[in-house]
Amino acid sequence: MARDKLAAALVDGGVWPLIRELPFRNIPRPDTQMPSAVFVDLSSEEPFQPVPGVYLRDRADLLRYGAGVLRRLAKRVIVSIADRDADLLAETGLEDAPDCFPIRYRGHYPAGDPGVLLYRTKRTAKENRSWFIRGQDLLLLAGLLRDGVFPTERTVVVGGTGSPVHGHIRTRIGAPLAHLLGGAGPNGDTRYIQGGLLSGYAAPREGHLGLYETGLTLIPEGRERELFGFIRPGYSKPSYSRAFLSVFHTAPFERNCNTHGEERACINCGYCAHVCPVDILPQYTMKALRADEIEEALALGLLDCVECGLCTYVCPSKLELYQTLKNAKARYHQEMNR
Amino acid sequence: MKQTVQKLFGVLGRPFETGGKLEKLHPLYEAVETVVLWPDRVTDVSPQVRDHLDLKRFMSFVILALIPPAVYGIYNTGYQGRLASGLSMDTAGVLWTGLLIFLPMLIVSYAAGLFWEVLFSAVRKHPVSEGFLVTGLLFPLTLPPTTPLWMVAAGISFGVVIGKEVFGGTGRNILNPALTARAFLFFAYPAQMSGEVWVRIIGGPGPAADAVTGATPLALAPTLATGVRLEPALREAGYSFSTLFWGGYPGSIGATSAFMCLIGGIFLVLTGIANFRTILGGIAGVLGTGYLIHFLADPAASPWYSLNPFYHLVMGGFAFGLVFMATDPVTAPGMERVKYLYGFLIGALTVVIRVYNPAFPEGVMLAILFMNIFAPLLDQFEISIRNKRRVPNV
Repeated sequence: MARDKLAAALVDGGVWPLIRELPFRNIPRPDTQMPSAVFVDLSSEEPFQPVPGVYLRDRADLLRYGAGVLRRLAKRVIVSIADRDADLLAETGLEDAPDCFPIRYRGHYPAGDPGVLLYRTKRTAKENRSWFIRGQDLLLLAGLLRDGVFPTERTVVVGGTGSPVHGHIRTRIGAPLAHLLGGAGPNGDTRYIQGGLLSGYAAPREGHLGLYETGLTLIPEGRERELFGFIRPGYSKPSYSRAFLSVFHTAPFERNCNTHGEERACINCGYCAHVCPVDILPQYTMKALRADEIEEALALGLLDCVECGLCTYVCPSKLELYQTLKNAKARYHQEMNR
Repeated sequence: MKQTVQKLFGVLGRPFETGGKLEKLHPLYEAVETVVLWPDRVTDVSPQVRDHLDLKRFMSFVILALIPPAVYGIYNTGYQGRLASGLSMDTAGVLWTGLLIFLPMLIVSYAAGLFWEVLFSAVRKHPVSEGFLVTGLLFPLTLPPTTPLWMVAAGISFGVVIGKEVFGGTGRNILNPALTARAFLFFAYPAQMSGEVWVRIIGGPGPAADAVTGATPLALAPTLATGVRLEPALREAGYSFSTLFWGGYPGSIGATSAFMCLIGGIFLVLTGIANFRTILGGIAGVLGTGYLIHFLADPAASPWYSLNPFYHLVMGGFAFGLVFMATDPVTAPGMERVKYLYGFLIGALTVVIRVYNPAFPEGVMLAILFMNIFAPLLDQFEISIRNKRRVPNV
């Protein structure tokens, strides 16, 4: 099948939007020229995300079929998988497939993000517009082409301190969130987070599962005020810094949505630059953006941002770096496509 | 307990709310309230979870690190004062005397500084920044115990207003505010600050003057004839290496003991609040420049030339300045590699100023302020190299 006919079939079948384009993570236009690569993302480092071993069970051949489809859409198919899941790759047989490049990576979140892998592997600016598709989404796309039936199945992880249910759940795209919780689900002081704990967004209790989302995390709001909270030893207070006794605490922590402090001016502590997976300097980029110095922000690598949320997570001044960078990217995209 | 406190603040806070009598002082109320009761703000945008570290804890760790130099400083101030006054030397009495000297300075520093801080916060309608709590404690620790209280107030006012608030407050200042305050006093009142005499006399059977005279270690060298070696002269004046290291000599209240600064520095580096790169760079800068002078210059030409460079680390305020002032993240470069260079140049300049400019014995203060100004340039240097290495993405 020719490339444009294949693309048209995917658009008609309603699965084209499952493919996304870096760096803006938007849906690529089917008529654009062939991207240099498409990443198949089999990562699961973010808390409460389905692991590939579960959704690939008995469906390794479907993934291989999907990779074959992608090979007609992009110059290279890059299958990225965590080192610990590497035996899954052997199962799919993708290791020996032509034009298929497996990447095994090691590291914590967001090491497996296609944006991070692209940043670590790219040599030229041409590669910036690579595409990516999540592993589960590739199964959907392949299912449509192989069986001719619109796929609706989704493997979702439900978890978090506030959740009555914990584990992988097989459900449908767009399922009501309450349905995933086996009934009404808790309300009041519980926050529903769709997507991952860090990259996800708050959803109403009555919400439905988004097309791209594969996780539902419920955690307490944490609206309590703590007496002299800032100077307590903090054995149960997780922190990227070493300023809490929690450095000696290895068991899982209970999380909530408290900001744990108020917004202040940036003091240039550099924690954000330390955690950034793509070596952006978020503090300087934020300052450049606030001064409307878009060229400077671009030179600092604004468009390489993978929207992982780590910079905002660690910021002791509680600045919304992630929002600032993400909004700037969106504005830039609008400007360019006007 | 918590409920009671919450209720109490509910009642106390009423006049400070919008429309209340003390509406304008809301930043002051808020500052006090959020120290006692951790705010209940929750995230409204992604990411939904946040780290537990905030600026209150960040800054309070600097204050914790300042406790060893401060407590020792109080003891030493009392000790030197009572020694010169010929009073009994029991520990409780010494501490009490030290407290009587230091506490009023600390209170004046905090009160005068807080006044400006709240004034600017009220006008600008932003919360009082925690950074001030560090500045207000750092500043009196850099002063000689003989500093009159009005001078403390004048210094901290200059430091807070000109050093910080005119630039927009904490996070936007170019110079370290506490050092700016110290430099202001140094240049405005040289007679009191130039490194003579730094013992406060408390009365009693000793000399009746307000203070005893005697050069501090840094002021000693210019008084010596050329050809005299500095080390024996220091030892003769009571400043052996171990005395300088432990800090039992007259000097700035908190800065005499390199050992106490070492403890504070280790605490700050272990907790990740201060960056070890600046500190390592500073030590390397002092030793590098010190040895260069030591080996290349003719020891007969100046008493300084023969000095073992390790003395520079423990003399004067170098240890204190390097640990607590040079590591201030706002005024230091933000990039990691140039932090070594920044520290190195602070150390090198300190030695150069001490050795070659007898008019300014306190070299470290000027070295840090000077490098504060160069910090953005150093950052720009590293950032531009870094940007060139990126695969462009526009």
